Amino acid sequence: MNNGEKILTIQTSRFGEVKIDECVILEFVSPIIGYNNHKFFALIDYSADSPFKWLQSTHDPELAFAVTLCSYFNIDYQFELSDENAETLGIKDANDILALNIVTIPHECPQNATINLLAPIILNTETKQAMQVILHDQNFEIKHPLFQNKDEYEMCSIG
Amino acid sequence: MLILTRKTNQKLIINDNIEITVLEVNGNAVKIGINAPSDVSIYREEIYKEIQETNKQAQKLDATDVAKIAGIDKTKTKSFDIISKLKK
Repeated sequence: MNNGEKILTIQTSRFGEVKIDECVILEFVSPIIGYNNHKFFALIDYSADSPFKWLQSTHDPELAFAVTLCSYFNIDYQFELSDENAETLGIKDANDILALNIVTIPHECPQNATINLLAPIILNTETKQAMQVILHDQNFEIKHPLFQNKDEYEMCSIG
Repeated sequence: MLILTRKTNQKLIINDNIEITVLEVNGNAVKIGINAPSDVSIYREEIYKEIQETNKQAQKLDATDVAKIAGIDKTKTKSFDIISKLKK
C-alpha cells in the first residue's frame, strides 16, 4: 500500500500519537514566521471530510497550525509567486505549487474565524519544500473573515 | 547600532552579497532598493510582526474549535485531497 514508504510515529498534543507517511513531511526552507527553529512539519488529516488539515511540527507536539485551501471557501485568491520565492522552493513546474492558508479561530467564537491571505504557506509538492511567503503589495488581508455573515456561518457549522 | 549617512543613489554593501541603495528621499519617506540572494528574507517590520502575532494566535488553536466549523463545505466539493498529492 505504501510502496515501501517509511511510516513514522510522531507525538502530538491534540491528536495523541499519530502515524504518518514520510512523504507528508514538509521541509521549511524559510521558516513559518516566528518559528525559526521548526523546520519540519507533517501535513495531517483532522478527518478525511474536514476542509482543514493540520501542519504539525514533527519535533514539538504542541506546535500545529490548521490550514485550508481558499478554493474550499470560494475565496477569490490569485497571486504571483516571485521568481525569488519560486527559486527558494526549487519550483520547476507550476503544477507543483500548492498554497495553503493558516486559519485562526478565536476560542469559543468560531463564527469569527479568519484566514491569512497575506502570508500563505507555499509548498512544492514534488520536493516537499515549503515556506511562508509574504505577498508584498498584493492587498491581501492577514485576517480575512472566513464567514461573510452570520447566516453563512450557521449554514455551515455543525453541532 | 551602526549608524551611517548616505546620499541618494549611494549604497551599502553587507556581507559581500547584499546591496542596499537609497533610491529616493521625500520628506520623511525613504525609498530603498535591496539586492540580496533569494534565501535572504526581507520584510517590512510592522507586517512581519503582525504575521508573527497571527501565527502565534493560530497555533494556540484547539482541535475542538476547528471541529465546530469542520462541517463547512461551501463549494459542495467533496474531499480536500492535498495529502494524496504529496503521495503521488
